Amino acid sequence: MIELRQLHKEFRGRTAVEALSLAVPHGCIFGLLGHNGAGKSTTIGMLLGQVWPTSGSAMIGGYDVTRNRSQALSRVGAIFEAPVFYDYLSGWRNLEILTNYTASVSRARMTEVLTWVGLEGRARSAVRTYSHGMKARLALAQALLPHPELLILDEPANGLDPEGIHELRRTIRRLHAELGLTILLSSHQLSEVQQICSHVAILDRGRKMFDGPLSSALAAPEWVRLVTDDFPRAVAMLIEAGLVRESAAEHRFALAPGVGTASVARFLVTHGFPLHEMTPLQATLEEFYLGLIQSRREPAVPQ
Amino acid sequence: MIPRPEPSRAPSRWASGYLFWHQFRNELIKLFGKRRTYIGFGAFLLAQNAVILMFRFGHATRGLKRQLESGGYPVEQYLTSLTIATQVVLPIAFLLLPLYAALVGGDLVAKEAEEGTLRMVLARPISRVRLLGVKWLAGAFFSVCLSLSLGVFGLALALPWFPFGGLFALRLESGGGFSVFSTGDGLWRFAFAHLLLATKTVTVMGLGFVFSCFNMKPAAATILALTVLFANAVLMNIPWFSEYQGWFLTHHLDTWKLILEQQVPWSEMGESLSLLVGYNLTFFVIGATMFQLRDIKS
Repeated sequence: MIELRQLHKEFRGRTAVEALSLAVPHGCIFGLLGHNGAGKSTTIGMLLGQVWPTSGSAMIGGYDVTRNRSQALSRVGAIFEAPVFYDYLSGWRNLEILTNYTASVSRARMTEVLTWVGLEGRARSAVRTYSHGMKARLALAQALLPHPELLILDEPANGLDPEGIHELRRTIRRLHAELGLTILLSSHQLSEVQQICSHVAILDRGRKMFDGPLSSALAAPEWVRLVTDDFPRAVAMLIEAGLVRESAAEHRFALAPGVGTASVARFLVTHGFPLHEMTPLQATLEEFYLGLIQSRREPAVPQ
Repeated sequence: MIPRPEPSRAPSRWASGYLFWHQFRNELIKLFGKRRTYIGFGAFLLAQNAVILMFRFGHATRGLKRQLESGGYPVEQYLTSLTIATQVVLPIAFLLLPLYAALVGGDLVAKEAEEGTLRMVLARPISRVRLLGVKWLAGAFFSVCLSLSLGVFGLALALPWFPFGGLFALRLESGGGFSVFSTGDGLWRFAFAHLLLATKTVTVMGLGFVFSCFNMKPAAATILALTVLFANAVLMNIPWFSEYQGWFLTHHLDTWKLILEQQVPWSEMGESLSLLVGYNLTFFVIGATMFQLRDIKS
């Protein structure tokens, strides 16, 4: 659905996005992760033809966004972090104005979408009287009106309360399930992304650090929780034996590549450590993300 | 349940034109939905009313009467609502009209960029040049309305205080002089003068629009447009530059006044109007180029 090829952007000599190549498969929910200033919004800007790439290309549905903008964006809906509208006009009028930049839409279709987002009763009120949540729903309505196949959400959870975030998560799942939309979600809220997305890409200072299915991000490294009589000594011996890569707080350690929990259990029992508990832990996206970012920022220790 | 997407179709030329009309109409709704759009109309009403009341109850008509009497024209026939409305439009067209035209022109793109709605609009499959086209057209429509309202308000406010009759047009520029027209002749010249005045308003709006396309605040765009105008006007009025009048934009912006001459210099008017068309095209091309090259960020 989306293909970025060596997409590169510099602002006055400062690299915002560095030779980014990425493929977003059709029908998936794809999370674009990164801290503030990592290059997420610039990437989305280039994807929507709002920011000119210094080099490389961005394709949507097979169309180059720079060369064939109208075809590339004809089936795209976008929502930005703080939904802004012509607040002196009604919600209905705002939808009419924004939709007419794509194609004219029937009143029945507008009513249908407004009902779906739950704004049918307030459509004729001025947007300045709307709450933040209502503006977010109006933003969703404007994105859905042109029958999109791809929905781009740039930090949509910013400014939402926990209920709003829960509602957003539910809505994204519904849109994906009912309409089969491909969704590109840019966020720095890792727990949200972990709950919704099937694929992720992680950016740091404009450079791609990871790209792939969420399951592969959560699979490595394999963390295990161990309860034994002398945890520090046991882990030190395991590290020395090459079975464990590193240890962490709360009685956790990471297995060395290619090592299973059975080998660790055998080693501990052989060396007289009683095993009270040994549970393989599922890595969180947050741990994976922080591990990646730290590995890039920490300078290599001289041998 | 939202219906599933229909297959994508390329819009026909007819559909594209229909959409353009809708986009233009929407720009008008956006423009005329804002309160600040009406500041100009409100200011005209106030300023014109004040000047007309000064003519009626002050001594402002003395000069006019003296000029009429010295020329042998009956005062009661030419000190009319048409004459007063014409006298009122001259200072307003010099100062207030460019101010409000530049204000609206400077707002057209920069205000949307500042508020963030431009990013939402440009997430749609509309080309930047087309977007600027509909915005410029909406600005031009506003400019024509503003110019015509000046004439309509002037005449409507003067009618209760002065009789309807011939037109006596006094020139304020160096050289002075005046023109006198019968009621019918005066009325069409008055109407035509306001139509021509719209070329000035559209051009000033276009100047504000150019700066609005750059990456700057709306107020900065308006101020820059007015600076260009005032710098032109100042230079044009320096005696050493008198032989270079034709090089100044402000000289051609005053073309509308030529229709109030007894003998209209049609060729001079045609030349100035052609140059104004050229200025407007140049402004649009510069604005579109700058806007096309810009990155639109939050």
